[in-house]
Amino acid sequence: MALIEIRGITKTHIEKSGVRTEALRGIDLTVNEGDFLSIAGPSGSGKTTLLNIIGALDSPTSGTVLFDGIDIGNTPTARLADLRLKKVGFVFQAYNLFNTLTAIENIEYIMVLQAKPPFEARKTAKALLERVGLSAHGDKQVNRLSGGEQQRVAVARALASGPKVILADEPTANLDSRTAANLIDLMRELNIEKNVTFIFSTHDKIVMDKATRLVLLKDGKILNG
Amino acid sequence: MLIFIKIAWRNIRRNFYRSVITISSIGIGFASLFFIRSFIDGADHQMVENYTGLISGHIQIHSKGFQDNPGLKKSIRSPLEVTGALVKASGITAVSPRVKEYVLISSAENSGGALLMGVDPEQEVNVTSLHKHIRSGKFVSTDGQIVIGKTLARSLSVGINDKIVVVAQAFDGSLASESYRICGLLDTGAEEMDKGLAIVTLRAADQLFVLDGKVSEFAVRAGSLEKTDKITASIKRSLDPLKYEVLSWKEISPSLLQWIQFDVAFSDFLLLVILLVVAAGILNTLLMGILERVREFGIMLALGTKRRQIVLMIGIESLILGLAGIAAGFALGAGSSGYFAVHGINLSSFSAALDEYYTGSVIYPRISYGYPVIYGTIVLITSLIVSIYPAWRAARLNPVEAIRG
Repeated sequence: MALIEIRGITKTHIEKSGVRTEALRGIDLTVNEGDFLSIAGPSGSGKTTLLNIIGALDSPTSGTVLFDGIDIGNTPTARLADLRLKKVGFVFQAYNLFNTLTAIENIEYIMVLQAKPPFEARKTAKALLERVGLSAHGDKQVNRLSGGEQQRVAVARALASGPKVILADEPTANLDSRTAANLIDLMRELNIEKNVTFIFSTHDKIVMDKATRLVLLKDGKILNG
Repeated sequence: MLIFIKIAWRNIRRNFYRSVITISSIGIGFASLFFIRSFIDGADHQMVENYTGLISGHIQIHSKGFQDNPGLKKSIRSPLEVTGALVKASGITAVSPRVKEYVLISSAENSGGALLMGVDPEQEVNVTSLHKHIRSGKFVSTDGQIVIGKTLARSLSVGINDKIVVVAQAFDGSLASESYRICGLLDTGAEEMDKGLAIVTLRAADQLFVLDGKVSEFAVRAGSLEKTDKITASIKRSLDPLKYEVLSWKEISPSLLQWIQFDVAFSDFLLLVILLVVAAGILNTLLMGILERVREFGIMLALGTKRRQIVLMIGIESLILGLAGIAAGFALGAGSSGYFAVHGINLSSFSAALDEYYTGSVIYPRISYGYPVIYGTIVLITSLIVSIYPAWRAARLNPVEAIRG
C-alpha cells in the first residue's frame, strides 16, 4: 500500500546572488508501507533535498507529494510540524541529539511534544532503549556515549513517536563499518518488527546492500526508473 | 513543560560563566535600585521628621486663613473647641498650643526682627525637638525667660543671662513691650531659625499680646509620619472648615513635599536606566545563546516542536535568569540597606548642606518591602519582554538551513 506518492517534483534553490540551482528535476516515486528503501547517489545528487521534502521539512518548487494522503505542498507550516511529530522519525548523520539531556530524556522529548503522560513516556523510552541495546546508558548525557551508541539513541528517539516512516540521512557516515552494519541490522529488525518504513539517503555500500529497494539519484533525477 | 524547564535550566548551567555574568548584572542592578530607594526613603523620612520635629509638628491647626496671612487677628478664639476635636482623634501622641507673632527685639546695642513663639514648655518638648537644639543655656521654663537663635544673639551682641526687650503690637492694638532674660541659645543648623526665632512661655506671650487665652495654633505630633494624612482627615471632620484650617506637613511646607517628589522622580529615572542595563544584559545573553544553538533549534523544529514551544523555552531561560538575578539582588540590596539602616551612612563632610535640608549628617536607609516587590516585578517583566525578540528569531528559523548550519 502506497504511503508516499511523489509526482513530478522539482526543487530549485535560488541563492542570494541570484544563482539558480536545480536540486531535483522531475522526481516520481512511490514508497510503500514497510519499505526499507535506500536513495543512493553521489554528493549533490539531491538525496538530502528529496528526503527533506518527504519529511515535510521543505516544500517542492513544483509537483506534488502525498504523505499518507496529505498534500505536503498545500499544508500550513504549523500542521506540517504536527505531521512530522506524529508520522515521521528522523535520524541524522551527525546524530543531532540534545546534549543537555540524557539518553532517556532525548527519547522522552518526542513523547512530551505529543503530550503523553510522563509515566507512559518514561516506560516507552526505557523499552526503546532496551530494544536498541542501551538500557544501561539511559541516565548518561548523550555526549558521553560513543558515535554508534548516539546513533542508536537517535533511532530510539525516531521510533518514540510511533512514526509511519523513519528518514535517515547518511546515518552511517560517521560510523566505522562494523558499527554501521550493526546499526543497519538493527534498523532492518525494527522495520520488520514494527512495520515502520525506512528511507535512507546514503552512498554507503553496506546500507545499499541491506536495503530491500534501491533508488539511484543523479543530478536531481532518478536513474533506475 | 518540565522538559523545556530542564533544557532551559541545563542551557543556563552549560553556559555557566555567561549566566553568572548576566545574573550578576541583574543582581547588581536590582540591589542598586533597592539600596538607592532605601537611601532616598531614609533621607526623605529623616528630612520630614527633622523638619516637623524641629518646629512645625506633623499637623497644625489654625483659624481659617492663618497660613496665608498669619497674625494675632487670626488667633484661635476658642481653644477648647479645638482640644475637644483633638481628644476625639486617635493616633495623636502630643499636642502643643502656641502663640506666634513677629516682633522687634532690642538689646542695649542693637535690634532686629524675629518670630516670637510662645509655647508651653512641658507640651512643646513632646511635639518638637527645639529643646534639644539649645547649644548653651537651657530651654524656657519660667515666664521671664527667652530663648533666641545663636545668629540673632550674635547680631544683638547678647549672650546667656543678658536682658533683651521685645516690642510688638498687642491683640487689642496697644503697644506691647516686655523685657526677658536670655536663658538659652538655639542652634538648629537651619539658618532661617537661628537668625530669626525667639521662644518664651505660652503664658508670657499671652500676657505680652493680651490674648486672654487665645492661641495662634496647635501643633500636633502623630504616632508616625505615615499616619499623618489619616489623622489630618479625622481632625478636619471634627472641626468647622469655615472657622479652622487643619494642615498636614505637606501643606505646611509644600517645598519639602516637592523635594520628596523630586527624589521619587529621580529614583524612577534611575530605575529606567538600570532596567535598560538589565535588558541589554539579558538580550545579549539570549542572543549569544541562540546564535550558538541554531542547529539545536533546527532539530527541535524538525522533530515537530512547535514555534510557541521554542518561545516558551527561551522565555523560561529568561525567567530563570531574571529570578536568580532578583534573588541575588534582593539579598545584596536588603543586606546592604539593612546594615546601613542600623549603622547609618555618615555624610558629615556634606553636613552644612544636609542640615540646611533638615536631613542630618548620618542617613539611615529605610527598607520598604513594597518597592522591591514592584521593582522585582518590573525587572522580571523586562527580562521576559527582552526575550521576545531572541525567541521570535529562534522560532522563525528554517529547520533545514538551521540544521545545515
